[in-house]
Amino acid sequence: MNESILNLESISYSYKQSGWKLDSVDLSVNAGEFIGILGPNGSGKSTLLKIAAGILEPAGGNVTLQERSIRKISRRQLAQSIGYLPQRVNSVFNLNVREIVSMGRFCHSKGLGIVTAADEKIVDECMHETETFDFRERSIDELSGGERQRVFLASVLAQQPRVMLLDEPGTGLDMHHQVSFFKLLAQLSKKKMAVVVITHELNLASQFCSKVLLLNKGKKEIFGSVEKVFERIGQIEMYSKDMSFIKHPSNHKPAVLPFNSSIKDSM
Amino acid sequence: MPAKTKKTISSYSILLYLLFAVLVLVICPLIGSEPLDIKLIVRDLLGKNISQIDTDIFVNQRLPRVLLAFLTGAVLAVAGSTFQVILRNPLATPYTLGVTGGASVGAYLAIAFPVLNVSVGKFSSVQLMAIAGAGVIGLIIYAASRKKSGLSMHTMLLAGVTIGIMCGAFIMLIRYLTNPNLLIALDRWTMGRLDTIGYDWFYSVLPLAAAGLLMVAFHVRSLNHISLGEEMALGHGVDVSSVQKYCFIGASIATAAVVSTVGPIGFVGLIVPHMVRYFSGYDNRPVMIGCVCLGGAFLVICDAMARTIISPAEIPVGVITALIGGPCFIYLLIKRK
Repeated sequence: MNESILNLESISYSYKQSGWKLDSVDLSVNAGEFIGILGPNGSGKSTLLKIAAGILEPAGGNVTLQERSIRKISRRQLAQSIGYLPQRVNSVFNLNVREIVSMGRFCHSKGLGIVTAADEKIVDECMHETETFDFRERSIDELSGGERQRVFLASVLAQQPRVMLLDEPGTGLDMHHQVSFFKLLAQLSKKKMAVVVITHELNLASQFCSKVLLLNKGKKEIFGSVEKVFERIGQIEMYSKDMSFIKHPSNHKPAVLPFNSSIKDSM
Repeated sequence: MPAKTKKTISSYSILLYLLFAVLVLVICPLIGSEPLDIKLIVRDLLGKNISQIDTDIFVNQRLPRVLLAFLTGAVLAVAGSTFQVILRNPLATPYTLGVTGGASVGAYLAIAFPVLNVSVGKFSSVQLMAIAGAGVIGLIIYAASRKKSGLSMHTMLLAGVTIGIMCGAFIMLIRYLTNPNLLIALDRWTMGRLDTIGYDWFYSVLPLAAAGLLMVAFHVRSLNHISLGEEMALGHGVDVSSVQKYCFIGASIATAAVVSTVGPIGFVGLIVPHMVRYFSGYDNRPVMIGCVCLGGAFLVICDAMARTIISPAEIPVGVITALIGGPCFIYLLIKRK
């Protein structure tokens, strides 16, 4: 069994104004795993990921990083182990790609944070991995949404974390880049780290994730293999309505096809 | 501008900023309505003896004025740049958060009501009241913006702007109630003034200004991350609430220190940070050094113009900064577009 890196135990959280609750959710992340978090809008995915990253403090439960409560770990030390990419990153000022990726080295450097030759090498590697090296001197404002996402991912990669928590990183990417993005994450999880990703792309989760957590209305529906989770998804009305659940013709992984019931079969 | 050229300019920019600041600090004390003999001054100073009138003017009038202008310009530019980053608003200035409004109310009270005329050490009653006003407003804004996990920058911005408007109303009330003979003194303070004789003003401003600048300097590296948003900065390992807190306190203290003495001189805190970013990019480390050098130099040059254009009379320096700063800022906006 792989080494456990991040453990979330009975996590609960509530938003005072709306009264919405995340209710006693558990999640265990082991080295080498690529976990997808699925669920309808408002099911608590982002809240759970923020709690895992130490951005939000849970109302109940505990988050441990290698058996140490993250509350007892300084923000900088935490960033050496946990990389977090929020759903939206807006740069107010027009930083260039290299500057943004280099910022990922913050948690490993001291003082004025002069980027060393070793840091430069890591930054270059991360840019190559995310295919952002070619436009490294360009300003972030000049890039497309998908290119920006890859730059911010490179910045998180430059932290060299043990686990990456990514909140809908595929947003704004075309299909080709979504697939290569998930391929990259799967490779990373095999080589060096665990990856937890929130996504609405059920087919990508099915093809690339080793485990899936399904949340619904602030509660854990199921956590386990792709096959088990997709079986459960088929039973949730919100997901299964106007959807056809099939097996992928190439590798027999579960797949979902949207289905317009108003169109009659013309054959 | 091609990326390579931009990078080259950025690499040399810090050196150029320092060189420019030194040049301005050397040349500007020699400019004024009374021409000075530099040889005479150097000879006098090397003999450590202030016997000539030229040396007396240089040492006791021009130099303290230039040093005060440089310190003021540096503080306003750094504070402007800091507020633009922590509020994530490129139009923020040292005056956006109403701290200056508090200082103005304090200063107006001290000028309008002579019964409040109490000085302590090098601090005049206007300085003391202005610092107290800025402190009270700063505390109110800080308290209003506090949340469980630090400070809400959104609330801070809204509270600051609202309190600034309220301070404007207090200022109107004080003007309405005050003796009409004192109105000119109130107006003169509002326009900004650097006409100091001797080093009292400079020394009274220096400790607070330096403490504020150091607080910001200590967190300048983290400011880069905050420009990407709080969550991204937290993910990178930045203690966001601590950076926001110390940068707000540091920039506010430094601003209060200079504004209490020289009045609210506008435009330096808006235009200089953007000018520096235009030359050196957006990394806040070179930007802060650039703000110190260019902010200081900009105000020294404006002050030299203020005291020579209609010599022997003077134009309020705030008028010059606005007249030069405004067109420069619009030029930068058009060029960047």
